[in-house]
Amino acid sequence: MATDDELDEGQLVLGDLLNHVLDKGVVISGHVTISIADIDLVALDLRLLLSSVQTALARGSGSPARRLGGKRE
Amino acid sequence: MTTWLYCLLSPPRPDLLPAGATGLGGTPVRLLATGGIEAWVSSVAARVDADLEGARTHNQVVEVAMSTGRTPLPARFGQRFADDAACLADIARRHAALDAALHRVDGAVEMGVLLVGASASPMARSERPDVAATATSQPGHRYLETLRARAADDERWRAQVVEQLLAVDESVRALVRASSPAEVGHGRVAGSMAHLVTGQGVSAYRTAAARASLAPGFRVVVVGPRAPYSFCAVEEDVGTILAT
Repeated sequence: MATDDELDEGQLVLGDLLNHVLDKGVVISGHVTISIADIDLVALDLRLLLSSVQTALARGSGSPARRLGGKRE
Repeated sequence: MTTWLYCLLSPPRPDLLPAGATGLGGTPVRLLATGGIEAWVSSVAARVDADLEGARTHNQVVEVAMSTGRTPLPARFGQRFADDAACLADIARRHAALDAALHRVDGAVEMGVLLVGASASPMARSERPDVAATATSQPGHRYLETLRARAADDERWRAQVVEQLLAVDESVRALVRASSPAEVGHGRVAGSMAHLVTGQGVSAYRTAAARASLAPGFRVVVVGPRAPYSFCAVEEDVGTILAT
């Protein structure tokens, strides 16, 4: 039987994996629609890179305002 | 129907796609190829919910691609194209950058460490910092002092977390091809870091990461091997939308 520590680590690993799938990975182009419960939260026609603020700040340089570009659909 | 992208590989090996491989909604995974790059895709409905099951399925397809013995460049969840031709056209347009990224991760897997701290970060804790020493009778002043004290606490916490992650990085450095930037969290995971490791180095990585000298109250959870999600940056002249 799994211990509490093992269950806890399993949750941490699952959370980290989801973070990777949703916030990392290569972005090519195309159309991205992120929906939850049949509600479209974000719809983008990409010639753009979609990123969370935290990721953009970690990878980028300068202020977020300078990196804003493109147009939201 | 639209074309959903799971990952890219090189060189194309259509013979390695397992029979019966399925993606989102149980749709069959298909291969597209252009210019020596293979794309794993499936035809999905125009609307796909970003739920846990969908994210898991997306990653499972990427893991199947890994099991072919090549290193896939995993696509971020959510990339759909009007049809196969549109997908191929976008790959062809960015071919040079994608080819370089595929070569960068070739023969490697991503390993990572999650730093688990004994206590949450100051920004994640609900209690207010102790500002008795700086409090005055002016509520506005007191409020700003509270914010400043909390920000200072958080800054110290972040520095401590980064210091632990750099200790792990130092411990595994001889085994890795590349390191991701250290990321500081605010929940149970105090911070994380990913490394690009050759397939043969996974066992040694686990040992080295576990041996890192950490401050009391911290421990690491080693994750992987997985597809190199953290090493897919493709330098292109694209704008950035910051989504919160």
